[in-house]
Amino acid sequence: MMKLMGILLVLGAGGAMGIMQSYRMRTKVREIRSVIQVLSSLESQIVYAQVLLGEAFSQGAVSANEMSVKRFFCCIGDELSANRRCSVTEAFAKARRELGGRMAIGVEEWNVLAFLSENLGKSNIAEMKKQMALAIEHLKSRECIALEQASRKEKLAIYLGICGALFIVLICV
Amino acid sequence: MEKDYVLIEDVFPFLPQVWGRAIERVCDEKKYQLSEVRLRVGRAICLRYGLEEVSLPDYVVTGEDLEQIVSALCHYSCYAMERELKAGYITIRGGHRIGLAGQAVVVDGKVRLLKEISSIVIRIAREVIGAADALLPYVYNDGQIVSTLIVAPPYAGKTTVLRDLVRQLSDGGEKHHGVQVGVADERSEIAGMDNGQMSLSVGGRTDVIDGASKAEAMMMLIRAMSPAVIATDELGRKEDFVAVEEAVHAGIAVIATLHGRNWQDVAYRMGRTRDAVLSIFGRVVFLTNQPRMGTIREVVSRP
Repeated sequence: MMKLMGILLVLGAGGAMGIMQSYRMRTKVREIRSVIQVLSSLESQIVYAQVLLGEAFSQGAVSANEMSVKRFFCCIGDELSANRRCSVTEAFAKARRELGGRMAIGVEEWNVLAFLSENLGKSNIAEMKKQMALAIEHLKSRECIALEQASRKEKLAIYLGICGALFIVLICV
Repeated sequence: MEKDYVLIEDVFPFLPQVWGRAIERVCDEKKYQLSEVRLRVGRAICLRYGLEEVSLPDYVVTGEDLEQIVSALCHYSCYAMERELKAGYITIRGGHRIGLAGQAVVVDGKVRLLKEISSIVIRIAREVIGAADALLPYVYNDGQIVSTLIVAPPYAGKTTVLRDLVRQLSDGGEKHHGVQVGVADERSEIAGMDNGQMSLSVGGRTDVIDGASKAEAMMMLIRAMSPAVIATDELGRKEDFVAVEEAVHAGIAVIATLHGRNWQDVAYRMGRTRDAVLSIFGRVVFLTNQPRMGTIREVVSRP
């Protein structure tokens, strides 16, 4: 009886790990999409409303569907509005340190955002428009890749989890 | 001497902390309040107290320092300050004007922006309640407010006097009722507007149009706010004088300031003779900074 329960537990854990991995892949796609939405909104705030970056980030965050993305951009906006000595790069780094671990987006997407943060607010509107368009373009291509990876590897991750668990069970039994 | 909260709250947040502490130390030793901070690449920080200058040789300004200060002044949103950067100045909360000098990028014969900023001057705006006490009697004639032109060279306290005059006209006093005052504040120096709020006292019956050109703001005030008095700082362009004439002919008293020392300067800058100037402004008041800022040197009235 105990053995059976142990087998079920290992199989369940392996399956759950696979499901979690596939869920993370789907979340990554949703988060990238959400970041693109925020950046589009941020672009409007900068180009048309010409509001300061602190407020622009907070306003832009509202358009995010994913709560993790919303919290991340709100954190940058709050930091910029509250601290007059804080640059965008510093605010971005702080938000990533505090909230980045809870997000599913990968290193490449973080690099796109980090590059944008280094250039944001440093030049005129025309230049800002170019920078934002470039970042959105990059993220769109990353979204396509993430989507393709998710559809390809989603089932694979679940099967791999279950198979891995089965392998452990067979070795142990 | 008491802590200078104007500096601590409005100016120091934009400067490196060590500079703020060094400036504060010098301020504590001086009797006068700081009126200006000059930062030039490769030079020591230069402070101005009234007419006296003090430099801090231990603190040499670098290009990176200035870049960082300008970014902070723009709240890291240079795109939102494009117009100001093009014009060469930024006004921060409290009405302090930050003048910039550097390499101008010229497109189609017009300055598009300033880059590689090499000098910054921070002019500290001080609210001096009562600065216009001596001038106030000259602004009234038989209980009526007369259009008045305040003429003075730089550092003579034109803006400080004008701000206090606006406050006194707006609030009224024992001898006079308060009136509706419109302020055309192109550089945000008179009222120090910050997020739609006045950071300096300009009276309870004062409406401010902030950021628009003086001529445009005056016309907007005439059309929209029906003021009894319009106040504006540093007339200079031809269209400013046209707008002043328009206001005067609409029955509105105009209180304005002009850079200059004497009648020659006034006639040259306005492109009008002395009599023509006096037909627009009932009073022309010349200020001097001797023995102190805001001292009345001469008052000329319409005959």
